[in-house]
Amino acid sequence: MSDRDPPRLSTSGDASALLKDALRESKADLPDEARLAAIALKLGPIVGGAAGGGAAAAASGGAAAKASVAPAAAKLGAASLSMKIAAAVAVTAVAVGGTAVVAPKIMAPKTAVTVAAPSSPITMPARTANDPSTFDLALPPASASAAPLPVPSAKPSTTPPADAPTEVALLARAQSILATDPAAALATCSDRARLYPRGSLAQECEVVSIDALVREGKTAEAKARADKFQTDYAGSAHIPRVKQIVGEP
Amino acid sequence: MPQLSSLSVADLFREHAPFVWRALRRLGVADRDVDDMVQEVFVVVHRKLPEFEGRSSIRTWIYGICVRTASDYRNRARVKRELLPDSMPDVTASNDAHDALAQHEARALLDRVLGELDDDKRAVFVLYEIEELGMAEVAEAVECPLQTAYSRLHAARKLVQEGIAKMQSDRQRLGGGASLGGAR
Repeated sequence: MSDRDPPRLSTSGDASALLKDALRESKADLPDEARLAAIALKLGPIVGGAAGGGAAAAASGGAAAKASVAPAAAKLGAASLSMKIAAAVAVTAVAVGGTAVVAPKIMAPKTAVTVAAPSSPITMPARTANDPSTFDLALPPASASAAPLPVPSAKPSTTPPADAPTEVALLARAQSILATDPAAALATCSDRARLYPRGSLAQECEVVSIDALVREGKTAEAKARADKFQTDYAGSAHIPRVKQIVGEP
Repeated sequence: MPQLSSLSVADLFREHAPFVWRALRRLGVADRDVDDMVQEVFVVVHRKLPEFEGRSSIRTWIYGICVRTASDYRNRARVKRELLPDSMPDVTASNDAHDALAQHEARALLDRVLGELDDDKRAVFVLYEIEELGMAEVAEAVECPLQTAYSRLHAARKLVQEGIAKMQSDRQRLGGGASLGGAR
């Protein structure tokens, strides 16, 4: 702000108390996380998948593309299902006989979902064998063990209480408050991990957690988690971002 | 690189969406439409990000898009007078109904007064007084010379203060407004 800039009305003696009140309330008028998450959902791949990336659209990371398919993927009970393949799974679920559970919901007419499952749907991204997020559709769903949602079940059930925020909502909330309140963002990510131990958004939340730690000045811990991330999720497209956050080349 | 672009838009959304929302509200977008307009802003951000040359800060650039989006919105709606007073009480963090109402009333009052300004003055006022950009950034966002921005701010402040005072005296004359504070 230059020297020529006048003092702002909110702190100026020129403004009436009423005007100051109004300005203060206006500044405090911010959307809640649910609203932001809903907007992010509609933006779809713009805040998530690669725009115009063709096959890559299904395979890229990002908040809203994941947000759009996360509920579907979660309902499929995909343990540790990376969002990268969730979109593909959502579309292929019908093709893989018998496991198409909530196809109607997967195909729910949300812009984000339709766009996130592009015309190259059957592409199962190449995943290395040691990639923990590889999801093998041939595995019996029961192998999801403690996963809350058995795959073939016609009616998905959830372990978290009915009034718990969805995994998507928690991630969106963490992301939206990251800049202003990294401690709370970190806590929200912990909540997500606790409520959804086999949730689909573990990677994305971990990126947020690492970012929050850096913002809090806890660089050693951030670095440790960044290293662990690169081990746990080798080959993940989030790795460049993680490295950027902790200042690695 | 398409993937980098979209990842950046995700970052930009996380950082700026709340303020885009707030700015659009005060720039005259009705509560029922603001979510859609936030979406529209970020669609534009996404589309134009490759063109962004970094001459201004990204924040300033995004606010510029907000101003133009709000202006387009108002031109389309062409029901300027009806929009603002219709706003339902906003969901606020306060559980105290009285506080919530007072907050809503204060904002509604300001929105009404801002609605009386022309787009240029309103934009400068909102960006400076509420979004708290510096005036150089404000001028950049609204794409006018710095001196023009100062003039608009000066005029806007005068009109806003007069408008608030008038609304307040109207309320008091009509029997309400004691809860809003501010002596005459």
